[in-house]
Amino acid sequence: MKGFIQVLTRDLKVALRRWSELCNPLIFFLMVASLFPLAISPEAPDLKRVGTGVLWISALLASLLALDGLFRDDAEDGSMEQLVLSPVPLTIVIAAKILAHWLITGLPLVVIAPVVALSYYMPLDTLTTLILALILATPTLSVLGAIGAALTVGLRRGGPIVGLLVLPLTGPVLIFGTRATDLAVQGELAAGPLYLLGALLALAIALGPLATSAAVRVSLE
Amino acid sequence: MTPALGSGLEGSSLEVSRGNRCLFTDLNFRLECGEMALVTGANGCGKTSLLRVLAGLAVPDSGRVMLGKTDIHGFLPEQRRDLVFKGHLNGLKRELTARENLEFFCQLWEGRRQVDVVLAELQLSRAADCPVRHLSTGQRLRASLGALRLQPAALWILDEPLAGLDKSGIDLICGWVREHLQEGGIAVIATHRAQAFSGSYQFNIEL
Repeated sequence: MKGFIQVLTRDLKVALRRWSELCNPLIFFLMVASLFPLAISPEAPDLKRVGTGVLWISALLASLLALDGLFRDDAEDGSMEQLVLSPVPLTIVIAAKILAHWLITGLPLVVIAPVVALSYYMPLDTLTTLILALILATPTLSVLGAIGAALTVGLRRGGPIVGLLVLPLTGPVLIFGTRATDLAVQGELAAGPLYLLGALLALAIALGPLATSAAVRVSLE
Repeated sequence: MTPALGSGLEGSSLEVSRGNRCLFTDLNFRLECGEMALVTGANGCGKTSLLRVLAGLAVPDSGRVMLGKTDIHGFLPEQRRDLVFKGHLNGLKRELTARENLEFFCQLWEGRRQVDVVLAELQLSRAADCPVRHLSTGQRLRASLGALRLQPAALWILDEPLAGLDKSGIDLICGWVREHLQEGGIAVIATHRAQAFSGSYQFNIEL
């Protein structure tokens, strides 16, 4: 546990010191979401219809965008070697890094998404469901992305390949996330898809760090 | 020193290749506590690959590495405390200061020495609170070697630790290595400057 907190604080400290990179996914998210009204139509009914989809797709793409740096920096400056050789189990180290990554890239999306949702004329009372769905979905995306990032860390330019690897796996998250939001918009109970998102998250947390640490070991060899 | 060392470090019939190229076959050696091996040889002969195998970062094609009674690839995380590896990459985060970097290593390995003392030994006290990206190459090297003093490991595996250091830096590192050996530690060092360690080495692994 001590090792977990040490790695987590170190990663957060490093991220806060280069906050220009930190904002990238967030700005990307806002940009994509604000382009749709320009391209489709700024009318309220149209925006209302596409709002959910736009929100989730932009969130998904934004979290993919942030993945490349997750392990690459550590691999390039040699700190990954040191972490692999450290007395802390690699799975714990990886779990801490994924949590740090989510706090840096996922959490801001959760915070800013309701604002975007309001600008798409989503009813105020659906925001709780949206926030809940995003809180369950974005960590799953971070874990899935971590596996992809770990597998491609040995490659010089991993960016596009990470997308190809991870995007198919994110399907269920996208489906249940939009479903939950849509149900809430229609005024119905969204518990079902939310439970499923929760189950996906539990699965990801249980198996993701194991898979990721195995992938890191292979990539470092 | 630590009980893990027990009967020292032993490599038996090691075979290592990189890509499709076989670097060496049937390499055997044995180091007792307090002994050091210098790995020398031309560029590309497999010094770094050997060290990565010894550290457990890479798997040999055949043969095995034993530290004490345990195969190095079967090490539990807790046992990795006995080993420190310094490769070509310095392992420092550019955004953190030298002090923060060393403190992180010290915490992770539960080191016993004070970071401030080590920074003073490295003559980095004045630069200790600059982010590493503002340090010179030599200062970064020194900072990364500081981990040797902070990680209380019995086995040191160093890849070209002297490359890029000035005279006082070389003397400092050689002094640390001697002290480490006197305390009963083991060191495996790849270097092109074998003469710097003269007097203290026992083995020469020439690839």
